[in-house]
Amino acid sequence: MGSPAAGRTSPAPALSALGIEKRFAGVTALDGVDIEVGQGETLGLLGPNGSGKTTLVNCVSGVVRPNAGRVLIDGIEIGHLSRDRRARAGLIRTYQNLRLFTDLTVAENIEVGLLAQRGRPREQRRNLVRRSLAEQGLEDVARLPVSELPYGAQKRVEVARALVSEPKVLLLDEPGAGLGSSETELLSEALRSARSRFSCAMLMIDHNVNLIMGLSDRIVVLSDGKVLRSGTPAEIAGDPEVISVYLGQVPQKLPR
Amino acid sequence: MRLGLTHDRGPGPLALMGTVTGGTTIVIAISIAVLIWVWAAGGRSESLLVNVGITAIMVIGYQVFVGNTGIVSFGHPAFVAIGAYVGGLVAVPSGIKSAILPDLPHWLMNLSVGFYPSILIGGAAAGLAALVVGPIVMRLSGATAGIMTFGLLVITNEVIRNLDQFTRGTQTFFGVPKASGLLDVYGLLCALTAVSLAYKFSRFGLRTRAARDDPLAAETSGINVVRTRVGAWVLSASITGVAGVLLAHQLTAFSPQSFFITMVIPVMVMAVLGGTASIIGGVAGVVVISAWLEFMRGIEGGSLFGLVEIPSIFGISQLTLGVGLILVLRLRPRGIFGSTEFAWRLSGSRPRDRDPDRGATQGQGE
Repeated sequence: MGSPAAGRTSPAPALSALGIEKRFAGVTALDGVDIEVGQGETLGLLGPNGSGKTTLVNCVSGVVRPNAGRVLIDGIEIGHLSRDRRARAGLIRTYQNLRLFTDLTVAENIEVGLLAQRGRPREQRRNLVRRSLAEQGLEDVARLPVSELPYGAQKRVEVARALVSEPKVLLLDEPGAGLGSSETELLSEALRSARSRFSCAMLMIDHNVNLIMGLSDRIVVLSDGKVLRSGTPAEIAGDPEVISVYLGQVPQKLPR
Repeated sequence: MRLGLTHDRGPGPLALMGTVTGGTTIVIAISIAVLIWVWAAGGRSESLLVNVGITAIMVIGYQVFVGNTGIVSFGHPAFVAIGAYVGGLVAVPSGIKSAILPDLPHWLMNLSVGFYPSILIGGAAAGLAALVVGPIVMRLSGATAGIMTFGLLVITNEVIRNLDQFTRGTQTFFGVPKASGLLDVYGLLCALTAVSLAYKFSRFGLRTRAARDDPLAAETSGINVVRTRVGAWVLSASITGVAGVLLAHQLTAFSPQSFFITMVIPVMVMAVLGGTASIIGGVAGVVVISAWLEFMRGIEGGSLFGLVEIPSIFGISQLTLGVGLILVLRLRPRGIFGSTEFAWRLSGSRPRDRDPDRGATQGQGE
């Protein structure tokens, strides 16, 4: 288990989560998971339902406190920090079930993503929000309350809010869930262009294997709260054990 | 230039100015109408309209906290009381003070400031009190925080009752000069409307509103939820404190029981009717309810503008108010204005700047 750390010697990984354990009332959700995401790397996180993917993202972002383990950004311990200070340290996440500021407009929702960093001039904030709106094709609805948008557009707002601050580490919890194929294509494009523009490290959960395989440099498969496999997308796609884990849960086929 | 409804401040400094001045313009217009009315009526309803103006400031102060944080407060009469007692204490002339409060410290005994300085001091005292308790209360959320604010009101009330040396305890505090003129009250109302609008659409207000809609998402976006709430709480308390000082200068005599839970109910109703998340909505709530109660009082008294004689029915003003509230909130659960505000816009603005108008008329009933 774990990933071979060779070739990533000089700079510290953008994100490390080491020995993460989380138990909920006797149920062990995470049982000593080690994950490292290198600078600018995209790590896909696969695993059947209940394997602990979202719990891992929750532990890293501070939404839940792990029972044991350390979380580091650029080699600096952040496990003791509050959620908002983690965000200000450059760790931003999205949610599987949208968590938008429902009464705020689209533009305001995105601007909130910029307020973490203090002292950004208003002019600069405005330009960044405008560019972000353009990237996601949300200019025409910029000043509508976000609750009036259809689901797919709301999903884009959440991605825009996460990307606008150019985070160091981005945690994406099922960004493709509920999107049609063209919308998934747009999402993929947005994430690629973000990565090339400010080279952020990403940890991405999704059940859409095409999306994950297309974007990830490396994939980690979780099963029952443990790391089952780690490797390149090609290695993982052909791994019999990974296939069997998925088949045990989803009888029809290897996910989509 | 035209006035329209908006959900946000719009892009650019000019748009922000248009949003802040938009709502303020409406309030200025209402204030001018009030002044003309009183002048035309030879000052007949002046006292009533001063009270309405003070209530409007209370509603705006209430809106700044409740509207931006989403936490219901039952404790705001505490800030009215602090404003009234502190602002009143520093404004009572020294001669009267030595008679009613013989045990005051020397420096306070000789202190007697004018109307506007007393407003500043009273407002600052209420803000300071909020700053002291804020970090404790604002860790809680939802109903728990609301009940906690009620606890604060009870504590404040007890403190005032027991600080005989400064407040005369349960006895009536009097001697405050009658100085709250119509022009002062409505001038302050306009100014505080502008302050509230500027806050709502500032980055501080935006952080608070984000934390209201989803505290967890706000935190993971880097917002310190407790700090943003304390900001709204302190500003809200200061505005409410100003209303308290004005009330002291209007009543001239008051006692601790003047500022208890019954004081916050009409304020709450007006804010909710107009739309808790909207400042102009709060003002609308004050106008609608005050006008309605006045109108119905005439009917209760058995005549309609002295023109028609009708049999008097007691309690009809409260009854119709209750029915009206239920109807309005049934049709518009988020109040008349929802979370929208008035803003000045250039007439030839691009179509997407007009979208909020459409949203405001179509998308409110949830």
